[in-house]
Amino acid sequence: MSGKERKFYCSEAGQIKPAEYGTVLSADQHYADFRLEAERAGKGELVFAQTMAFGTPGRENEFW
Amino acid sequence: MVDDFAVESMYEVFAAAPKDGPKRYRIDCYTTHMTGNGEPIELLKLFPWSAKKMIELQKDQEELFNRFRGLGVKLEFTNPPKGLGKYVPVFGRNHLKNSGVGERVFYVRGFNDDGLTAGSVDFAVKFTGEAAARLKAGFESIDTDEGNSDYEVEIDQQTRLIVDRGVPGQSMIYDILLENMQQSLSSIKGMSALVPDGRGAKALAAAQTRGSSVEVFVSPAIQSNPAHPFSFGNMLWMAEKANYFNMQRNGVSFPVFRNQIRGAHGKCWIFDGKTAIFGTHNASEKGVKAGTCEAAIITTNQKIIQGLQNVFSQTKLESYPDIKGVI
Repeated sequence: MSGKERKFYCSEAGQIKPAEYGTVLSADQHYADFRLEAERAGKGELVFAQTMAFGTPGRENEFW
Repeated sequence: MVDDFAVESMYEVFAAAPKDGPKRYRIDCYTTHMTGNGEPIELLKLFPWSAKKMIELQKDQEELFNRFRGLGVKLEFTNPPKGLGKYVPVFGRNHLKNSGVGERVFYVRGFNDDGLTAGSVDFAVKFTGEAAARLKAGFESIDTDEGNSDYEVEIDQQTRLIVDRGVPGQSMIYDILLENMQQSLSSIKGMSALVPDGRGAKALAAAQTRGSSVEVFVSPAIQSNPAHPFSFGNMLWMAEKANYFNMQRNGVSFPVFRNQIRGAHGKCWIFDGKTAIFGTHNASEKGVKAGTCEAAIITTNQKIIQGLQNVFSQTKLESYPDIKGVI
């Protein structure tokens, strides 16, 4: 399922609104909420992220 | 796009942002120097049977990065390994994961932008307003300030950010975790990718003995994978074996629950239902020796703690107490 097909965690009665301060989100919920916040970024506002590992082509199925 | 929902989701986030707005993506060189299976690319290039595959992998990776650059995303690669470190780029990594918008939204998270960890039991906590601005400044200092002392930043009256700078053998986060384990009176709930070792294991066993209810949730047992002999996973497998042997030898025991359905990559501790510590630190003393840069939030905010309690409840629902997991 693509990110576009995922429901926003923050949907309430058909309305989409961002999660509030202190909300604990799953990864799916985080990406959906982050996308919503990024859409609303103001002029000059930095959209940023940081990660150690990044989905890499060629991965098989090992968890560490 | 690529066959990885986390990468695809990140692409969609940046694609949704204003076209001409600034976008930045910090990726640790762990990604550029390791295969998806956690094997050092430069090392495998030395072997004729894998050299070609490694070169193709780097090409594919570069294409992927270029897709993000095509959206106007500035990619910054942290911690380039030097010398022999290129061949074993595990130690001294930047283990941070976060995201946000400007000074108004900041997500503290444990999962990477890869399907493997983002698809495991893990979570993000959202901060907004002044707290988000303080968190952003606190995290920026890691990459921009000189110095190697661990530090803490007050986020609000209930919440602090603790940062380990990545000096081997030094960890303010681990020290605070130990202190809380030693002082817990009624309950300790923990979640990590790894079973706690060293002084943490002893502190948990002691808490259990004095009547505190201890529950630690971790991933399924790490398996050795002979197909990937140089992988990070195999290193962890050996470390866990040594850990298990030491705990048995020293008579250290506390309840460990292994999620049999999927990995547990979240890093979170709740002490007496009143204080939570979460972030990137796996509560591993071996990790402290590896000198990784880590961040953790310590909070007494009840909304956050309740949300984290729910993560534990969900994990417990999909897990079961595996008798082999109780060590």
